[in-house]
Amino acid sequence: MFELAFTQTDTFIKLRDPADSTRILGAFFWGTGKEKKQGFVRLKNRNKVVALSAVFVGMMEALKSENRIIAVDNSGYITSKRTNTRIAEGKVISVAASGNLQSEKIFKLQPDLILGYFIDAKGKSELDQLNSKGIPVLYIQNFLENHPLGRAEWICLFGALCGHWEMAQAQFREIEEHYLSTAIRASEVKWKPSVLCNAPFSGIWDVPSGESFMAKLIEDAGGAYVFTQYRGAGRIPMDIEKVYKTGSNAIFWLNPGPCRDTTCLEQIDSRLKNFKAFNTGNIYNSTRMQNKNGANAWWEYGVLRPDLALLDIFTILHPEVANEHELVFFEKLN
Amino acid sequence: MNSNNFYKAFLPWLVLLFLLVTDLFFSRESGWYFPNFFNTQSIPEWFGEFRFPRVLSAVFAGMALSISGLVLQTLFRNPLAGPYLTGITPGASFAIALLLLGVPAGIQHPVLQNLGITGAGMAGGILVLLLQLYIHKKRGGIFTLLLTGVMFGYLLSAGSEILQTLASAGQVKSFVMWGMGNFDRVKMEQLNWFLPLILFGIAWIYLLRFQLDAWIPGDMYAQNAGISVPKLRFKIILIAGILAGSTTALCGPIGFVGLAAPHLARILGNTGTHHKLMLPTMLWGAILCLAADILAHHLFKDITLNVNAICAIIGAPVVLYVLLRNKFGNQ
Repeated sequence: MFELAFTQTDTFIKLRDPADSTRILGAFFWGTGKEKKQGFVRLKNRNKVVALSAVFVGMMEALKSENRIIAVDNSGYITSKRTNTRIAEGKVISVAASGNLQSEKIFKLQPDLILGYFIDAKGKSELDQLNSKGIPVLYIQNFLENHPLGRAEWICLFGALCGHWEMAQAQFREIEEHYLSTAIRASEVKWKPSVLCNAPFSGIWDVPSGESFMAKLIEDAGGAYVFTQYRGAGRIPMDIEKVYKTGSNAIFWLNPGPCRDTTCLEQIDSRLKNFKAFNTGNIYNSTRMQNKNGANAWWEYGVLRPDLALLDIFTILHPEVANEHELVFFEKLN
Repeated sequence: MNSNNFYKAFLPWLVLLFLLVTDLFFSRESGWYFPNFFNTQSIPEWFGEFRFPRVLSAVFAGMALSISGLVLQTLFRNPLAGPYLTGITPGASFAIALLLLGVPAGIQHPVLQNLGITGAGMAGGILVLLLQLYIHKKRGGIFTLLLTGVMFGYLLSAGSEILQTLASAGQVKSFVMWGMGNFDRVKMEQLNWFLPLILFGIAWIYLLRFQLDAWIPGDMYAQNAGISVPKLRFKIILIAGILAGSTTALCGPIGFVGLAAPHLARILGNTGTHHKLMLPTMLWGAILCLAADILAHHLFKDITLNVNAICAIIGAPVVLYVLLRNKFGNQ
């Protein structure tokens, strides 16, 4: 959740916590205006950026601004050719490859700003420490947005930051129109096939809640998500027995963990053979654009292009109605 | 039998029966369900495939960990000894971490994982105890032995953490989920080897029960009774490693049961001899695991908690309560 405002000389952004919109996570401005603005921190430059999520890299690439990126969290998770070339040239480095933020490494880079996010207080305090050392941190909490379009809309913020506000707006409008037109087509289909998501690890199944990103995509694609009654946008750690009772008859199964074939699924837990979708072969994973190292473009572009993700799922659930569409992110398990 | 003895003898059985029936036939969302065992065709798949192996593994894991804890407390002559403190569980965890995290994702295969986890768990646990035994032979002293176990525990836990730091996100998730001990992961076919293995270990300890009793006063006393202490020590290490290592491999790390169950049995049974302690120890082990499993599934609607954490949450207050009530310090 963010607010953007423009004056003749300056641009203002205010970042709010989507989980609690009254909580302001930062307020910044930049431009040619000379006077200070109460409550806003001036961004002196926006040329050297540390992007701590593959999603942010995807958004900056979409705006042709990837040359501003000097560091990412883990270069191993980046799939784009342009940024990978810069990584190979040593122009982009990893600053959290092990999962732990290497604050000293970031500090030495002296970036103009950090595009970060936090899940817990510990993560925020690490970034706050860098903020207190004079490196502005912009908290991009777009993963907390419930609606897929809400997440994609953050491209407008990136557009403002990178000086491509109009390009970003045009891209978002196109994404929105495309998404809504697919959602309208899906809403006209009477049959809503049941859909199950994810896979268990050691007997526990992280089930997306009924208001999560995936649940909303399934609903808008004309599907009936089997755990739609569970409110909230996060995940619920559920035991495999409960998931079996509710979801074993689901017609479709999406994103079954790391698996790209049913043998893998069977070896995660042989009891998954008892699920209907396993036997009918209606299992799809968003691994089509995953490379051999495990990096998956779904994480970079799935958030930015919910229209394509929706069209993929609509095509999977209603192939008889969907026009010829080659799946972008999803593939059928072998 | 006076009323006090009756209470002490039958209370654990009644508690076990209540927990067993509750865990097996009750669920928060659909209430009680009693399948018709005389007509196996009518038993729903979810009961046979998920509920039954889960509850059965909780009972046997409780028995295995508690017996392992009982003999380790005798071996180390320390009431704090248990599969965790003596390094068996960290050893098993490290070996499994090596398998899950040390093998590059590109060449890793779930078959390798499934076959390897069990073997690695047992081998890791036994190897740590054998290393301790070797150091004990060189340096002697029971405190050296216990301290070595604690140090191995720290070292191996640190090793597991470093492996996690170096691994890919998928590998870390797989190890983290394994590390959250629970019984939901256990499948019927796994019980085919797990139950005989646990029964074999328990039977072996049963055969050694009088030797263990003779060992309680010390090595000299046992040797005078014609017992080969080094052989007995080796056997105990092997059996404790098999019991705790295989349970850790199958269910993930389940802490506290191995430490608490023997104490509960000693305090409530007012005895210290193995031939009298074995059964109540196993009973309390099964009770702790079943209670933890019930709470993990029903404390919060739909959310399943980590059994490992629940074991400590329910076990620690129970032991403290029993200690205070029985003025354990004076016994």
